[in-house]
Amino acid sequence: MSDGPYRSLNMEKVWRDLAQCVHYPANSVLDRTDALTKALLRTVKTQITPNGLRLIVEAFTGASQPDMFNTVSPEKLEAIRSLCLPSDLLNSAIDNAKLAVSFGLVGDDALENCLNRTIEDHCRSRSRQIEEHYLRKAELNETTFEKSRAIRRDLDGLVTQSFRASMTAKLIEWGKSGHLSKASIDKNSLDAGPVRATDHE
Amino acid sequence: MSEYPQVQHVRVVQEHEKSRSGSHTCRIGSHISFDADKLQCYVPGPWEPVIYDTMLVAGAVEFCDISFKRPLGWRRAFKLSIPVHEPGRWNADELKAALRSCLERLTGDAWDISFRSLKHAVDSPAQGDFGFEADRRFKAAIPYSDGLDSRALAAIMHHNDPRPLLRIRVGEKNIRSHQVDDTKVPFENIPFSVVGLKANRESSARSRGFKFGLLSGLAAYLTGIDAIVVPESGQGSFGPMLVTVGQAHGDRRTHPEFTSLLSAFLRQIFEREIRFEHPLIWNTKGQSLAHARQLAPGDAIWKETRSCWKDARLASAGNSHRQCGICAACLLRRCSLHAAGYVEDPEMYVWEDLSLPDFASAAHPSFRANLASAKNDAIAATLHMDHIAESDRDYGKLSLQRQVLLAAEGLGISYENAYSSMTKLIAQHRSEWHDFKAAQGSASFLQSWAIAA
Repeated sequence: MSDGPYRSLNMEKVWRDLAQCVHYPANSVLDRTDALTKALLRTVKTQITPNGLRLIVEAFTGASQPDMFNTVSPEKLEAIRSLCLPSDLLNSAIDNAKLAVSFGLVGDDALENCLNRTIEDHCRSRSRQIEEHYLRKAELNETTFEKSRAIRRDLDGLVTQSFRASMTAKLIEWGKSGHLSKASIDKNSLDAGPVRATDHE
Repeated sequence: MSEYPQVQHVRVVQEHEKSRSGSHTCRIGSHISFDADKLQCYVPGPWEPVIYDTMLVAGAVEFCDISFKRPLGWRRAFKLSIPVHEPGRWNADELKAALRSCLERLTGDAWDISFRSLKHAVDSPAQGDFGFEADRRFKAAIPYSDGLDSRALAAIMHHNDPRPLLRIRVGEKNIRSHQVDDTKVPFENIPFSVVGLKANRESSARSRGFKFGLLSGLAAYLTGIDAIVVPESGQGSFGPMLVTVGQAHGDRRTHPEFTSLLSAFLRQIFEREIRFEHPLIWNTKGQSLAHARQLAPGDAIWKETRSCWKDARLASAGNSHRQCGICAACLLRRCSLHAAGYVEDPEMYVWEDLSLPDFASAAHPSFRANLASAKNDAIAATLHMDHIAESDRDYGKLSLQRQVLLAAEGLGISYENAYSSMTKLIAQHRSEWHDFKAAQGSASFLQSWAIAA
């Protein structure tokens, strides 16, 4: 039996690292949470981009709030989509921002709600892929069916309310200040991320 | 690893036009072939260049989509130049924004498209070859694949909807006529083919939704139709978005989010309202088939249709091209026909008997294609059905609400209405999937992969 079905996961390295971390029971919840944080920050950087994140955060908390009730129009959120490179995570963030607005939320509450949902959405998508990969490997006797179920259950189990709250706080700070805290940068080696090529032509 | 993918410059050129260095060439007549004259016969008036231009846009987008492999992070970037009769119309800011929005949401790629004048005049077709098409009596169009959903919708609408329907087939397969209740119904084939740059091409093919929708919109415009009826049932339209997998861009090809964006694009091209209707979207495929069965009894619907995308190399057994029986399309088909009370001939499939415990020995003895690849497809298909069945569970509620919002916006209904319909749809799917799995028996190889319901 192979000791590492995660090695052949067709995912970015940070997600393979997370799968590896969750694969071994010896790794603590803290280790796993760190790996998930790193994977999500990396994905936000490449898919939403720091610029996209700034625009979303500013839409809810910036000085240019459109009215005294701090409501943000769906059109304004759609405009952010058109200013950024397309990606599934960006679509999720914009859709979830519109959803938060439709539920009557404003300001920080709306922003937190939006990012909470976006994190949840993306993590579920990743854990489904890891489960599928493990099942394939179980058929090759490189792991077990039980392990396939366990790894998805353990991954989903990391996305607790408190994890989402902590992650959301990091993203809001990143969107407001334009950079992650020094600890996060050192840990994750994140740079500026991609920009829409046509914006600079 | 570069995070921003290299921009692929693609230039569509006419038959005798020179290629340009620094760009990939997509040559009309070689890479893109279509018959614009076929559609012109709908129009009793003069030649409309927008027919040619629209078909070329559909072809150029498909060419880009299938020619370049996706990176691990999914997103590609295209800078595409297309020659058209009316660059002024196509370069209008509103039209280009609608086109970009449509394509980026559908494919997950970045698109920068510009239009230039055709270098050489395109011959306009000879007039006067009007058949039944020119009488403009149609009130709605169906993009017709001749699959289960198309057949079910045709049967249901034939009985429940008084509007004369034009069935449209896009592609190389010709359907001469189609019969409903012993009556031959109007049918139109649009011959259209696109060949990518390399044999080893991208297979995600998200742009197929754009091609089918755009060409259906074009046919609707030419016949004065204001509605295009999408035959897809709920699991097909919503399923891939409800349970996205990994970093893959959610598949929206028949999702109302995409069709509403496409409708906005059609408005920019034709300056007319052409809407997409989804009459079966809150049904499972099983419910649609059960309804169709009441209206049109008989077994033709499963005997004469294919759901499997696999060609003869991948799905042959017993000296015939069968359906594999275990890919996502086949599993949904078998589950839905079972729910509707049909009993299929198992010899339709390479995997005739799903009750066996071992996947390999359940394949037909003459099956010679790649077993490991087929097993991967089967696992993905089983999990897809399973994940949809559990998508309304508590831990998925936050994701479900986003999907409800997208459905509500796309269909123009209230959030509450969409939420109620979506949860009923998922519950019905869960029930059908549970029954189907149970019918295979507890020893079935499917049971070792599925856990929901």
